[in-house]
Amino acid sequence: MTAVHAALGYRFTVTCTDQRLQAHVDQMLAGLAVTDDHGGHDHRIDRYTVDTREPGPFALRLDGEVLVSSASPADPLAHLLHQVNLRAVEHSDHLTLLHAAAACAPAGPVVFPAAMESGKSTLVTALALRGWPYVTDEILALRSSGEVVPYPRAISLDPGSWTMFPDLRPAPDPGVAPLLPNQWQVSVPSAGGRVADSPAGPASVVFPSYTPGQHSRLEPITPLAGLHRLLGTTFRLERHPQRDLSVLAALVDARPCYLLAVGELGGACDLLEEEFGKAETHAPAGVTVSFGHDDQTRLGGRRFRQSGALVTADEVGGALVVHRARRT
Amino acid sequence: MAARYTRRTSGVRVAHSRTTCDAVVGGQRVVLDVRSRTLHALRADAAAVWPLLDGSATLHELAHELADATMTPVGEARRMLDGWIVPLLEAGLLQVVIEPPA
Repeated sequence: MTAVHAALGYRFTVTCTDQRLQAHVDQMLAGLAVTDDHGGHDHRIDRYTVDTREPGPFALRLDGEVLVSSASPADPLAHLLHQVNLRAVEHSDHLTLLHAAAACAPAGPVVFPAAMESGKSTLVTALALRGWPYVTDEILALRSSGEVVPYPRAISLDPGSWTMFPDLRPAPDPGVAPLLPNQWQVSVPSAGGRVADSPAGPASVVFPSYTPGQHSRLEPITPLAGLHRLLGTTFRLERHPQRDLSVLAALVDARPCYLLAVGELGGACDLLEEEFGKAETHAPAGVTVSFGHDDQTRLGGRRFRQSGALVTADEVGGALVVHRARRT
Repeated sequence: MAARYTRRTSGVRVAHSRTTCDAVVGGQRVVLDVRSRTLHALRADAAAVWPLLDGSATLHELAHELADATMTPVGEARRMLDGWIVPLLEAGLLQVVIEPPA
């Protein structure tokens, strides 16, 4: 049976003509899988087919209609990911949507609104690896009540970020590699992180900007300045302007706003942990930790020690080297 | 300019432009021009009169209300009102309400 996925209010299935690619896509979309396919805002389910049969042309179809046809076998999946994002926005008219990443500090979700290529995905990846439950890397959805609706799709990492996360390099089946876009799709649970269950309203709003070569800085800004910036990242503001303005005004009125200059990624994450606290330590379920010579290792931003047959976690602090983490 | 405008338009009504919406942030009234995504923060005095600018009262009537509320002469109230309304009209946040002929 084909799995149904939910991207906010948008429901869809994906069938791949290549079974190896199907397994890869299923894992990539696992965070969006739903068990109740009638619980969405919009009951319609779109059915995609990723057709990568040789000799091509390679195609992405929606309910049998060709959406894209290309000579490149990687294009159909790349286009699918783009389509899902677009339609998630189109089908979530009941939500206020921001172009933002988010992850949960102990006090609640911290929202990182920014334009494309601002380092949102990079930052939220680093935080997820430090144990902050992941909410989204692309679209932050808020109900009228101010609660966050998770959109825990796989994090899309562009080549510029790859050197910062060498352990996240995907290792797809060699036959699948040519079918994948030039972007890492990082499943947070597979990387040892956690996905946020049902986060409450945001605890804070932090506007990141990438400032290479400078020290990372976190500076508070006024609610009005925060609102002004939020409006610049709001999807389809013209559809429900009064609702969206009220939701965002209530947010910045109740929660602190900051500018974050990200010079060095680790330093920026340290600043965020100093301000909002470190994530609770826990051993991710279903993950086996292989230990280095010192009987301790670090996974998902947390440090683990071997204690008999058990893996225990504690916060020791200080920089540690990741030795190896292997999913069971 | 404002005084001439007032003399000519004392019987007209003004209302929030259809492309605006508003909220209060940090105790400050803000008005969003949705078309340009421009956020305007109103001064406290203009913010106080903003909710009244719904097109239901003429500028003349509003001036009398303001005069009563502030215990100032009507002429002074009119000048205050003009000082707030004209910039909002120029910014496109207010529109003149055209009533159909009787």
